[in-house]
Amino acid sequence: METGLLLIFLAFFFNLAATLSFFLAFRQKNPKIAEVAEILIYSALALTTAAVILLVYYFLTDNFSLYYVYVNSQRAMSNIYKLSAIWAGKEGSLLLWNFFNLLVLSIFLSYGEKNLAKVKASLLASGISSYLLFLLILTSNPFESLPTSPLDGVGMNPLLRTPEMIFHPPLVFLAYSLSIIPFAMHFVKFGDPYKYMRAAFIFLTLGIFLGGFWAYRTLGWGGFWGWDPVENASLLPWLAMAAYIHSKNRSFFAYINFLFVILATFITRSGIISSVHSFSDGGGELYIVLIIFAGILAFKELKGGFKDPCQASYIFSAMIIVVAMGTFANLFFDVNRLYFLTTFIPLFALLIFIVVFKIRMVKRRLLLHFGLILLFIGALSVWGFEEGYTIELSPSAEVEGIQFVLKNISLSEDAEKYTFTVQIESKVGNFSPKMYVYKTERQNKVVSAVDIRSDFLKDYYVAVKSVDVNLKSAVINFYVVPLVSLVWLGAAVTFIGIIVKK
Amino acid sequence: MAKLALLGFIVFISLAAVVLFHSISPYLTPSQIVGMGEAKNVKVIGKTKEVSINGNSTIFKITDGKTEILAVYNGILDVISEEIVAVGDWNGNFLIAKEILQKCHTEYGG
Repeated sequence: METGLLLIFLAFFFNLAATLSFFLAFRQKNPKIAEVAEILIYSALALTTAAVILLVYYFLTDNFSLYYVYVNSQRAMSNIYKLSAIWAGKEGSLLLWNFFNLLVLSIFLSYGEKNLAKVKASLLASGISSYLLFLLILTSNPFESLPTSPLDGVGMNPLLRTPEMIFHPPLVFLAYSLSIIPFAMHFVKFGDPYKYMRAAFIFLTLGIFLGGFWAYRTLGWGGFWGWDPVENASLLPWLAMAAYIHSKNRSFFAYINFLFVILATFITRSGIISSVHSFSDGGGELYIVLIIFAGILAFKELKGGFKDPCQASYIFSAMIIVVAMGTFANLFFDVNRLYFLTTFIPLFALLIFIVVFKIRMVKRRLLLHFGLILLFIGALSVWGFEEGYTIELSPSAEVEGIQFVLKNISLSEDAEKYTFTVQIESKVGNFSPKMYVYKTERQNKVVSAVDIRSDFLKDYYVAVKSVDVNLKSAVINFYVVPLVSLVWLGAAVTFIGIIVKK
Repeated sequence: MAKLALLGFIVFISLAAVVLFHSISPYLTPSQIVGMGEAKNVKVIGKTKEVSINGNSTIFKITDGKTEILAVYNGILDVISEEIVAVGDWNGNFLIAKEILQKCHTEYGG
């Protein structure tokens, strides 16, 4: 057996043994057994850490005898992208998630009071992490070997070879792991889970904003949020966390949040959402067990009555429902983006209205809510007033009174890719957008590197759509994006506001 | 106050359901679209084949295994034999694709 898989197997058995030990400790009210369980969890963490380090080593040493390394790495890639390639695919990202699950559980066990309720909460959290480790072994082994060792790999998806993608997935998975603890603590009514949920909220906020920034800079369509099911899948837990923070019905939102965390994985792994957005590789249905479990708990909590003095939690609930309805409708249909805009924006506006006119109530979080107002203005401007054009330059064209002149197209090559640089002159600025054609057998080998000229009020955004093989003409996408700077500023202020509690 | 908020909540969700009902449209397969007349902004799902680049445009076929239609995209399409959704105008003979949707760029739920 491959060493990495052996490490994961051992981690699973230690985790399972810990779960059984927590169960025995709870049944027999025996703190000694709980201490053994705790040591077993630390051991499982050490083994998972070793598996992650081993995978890092395989990536950095170009060990293409491993299928996962072969598919996601390439000799020409820089070391930093070889590192981020670890979470570029399903297997590596799930290994990372399991590592975070055990890390967070270990932190939970190490700090705070130790009593029977904590043992019960640990039993649930340990049970969840061992189940997810089991799914990793069953469906997503990152250490699967190839019969021969290829000289080079296929390479990471070129769209992911950006600095944002080094941080975005780990932040999201860390947030998901952190939110399991509040779920378990609410289930057994133990302690104050708020700090865990707040930490999860901080990491998920940063992760989502980085994802939006990456989409804007990399995908070349002039937007930061496309209401894609995969994007929505990460927005739903974020909304549930926001509702949790504002609500008095915290157990309900802790369960709903956990449900969405698992659902996010299920959506992208099962192929249940239309085939353009997900990968059906089997095993996704096994997540349903956890979704049903969380759903039953949430329903039971709701039956107890939903009385909340804070209007914000009603608004967040409505946001969750409209986003979830649109995402689920994608099971069978194409959902027009306008649905999300016409339902989500009024709720967002109502939220901002409450923030502005009830400022006395929220003054403790002035910075956070000020950031939210900036974010709303920016997002509304982009969603409502962005203008986009497809322009063929052979060699010039005029759009909305702006003359674009193609000055030059140059072609260069390095070990990783070919680069077409298109130089364009216009009265709103000179642009040098690029089009990369990566030397990989992957799809999406053509990636646009946009060029943006910004003032505070608007971005002039140019992306290359195609170039003529004779380098005489090019087709570009040109966008005028109003107030997008407020989206980034608002996001930054919101994030700082969450951290500093001002 | 709580009852009023709950009422507003229920009314809004009901309205959202109505908006959703009017915002959904099915994906069409080549077999379905081939018998249609002109249609704007259709979304055709299928696999690409016979992809060729002509200047700044890509000419290719979309097939559902039974029927295939011709499509033209003003840009470079680098996906071969992969399932796509082509968004564009159908003129009765071929699809003028304005947007090509491919598998998710993230490839996982991150």
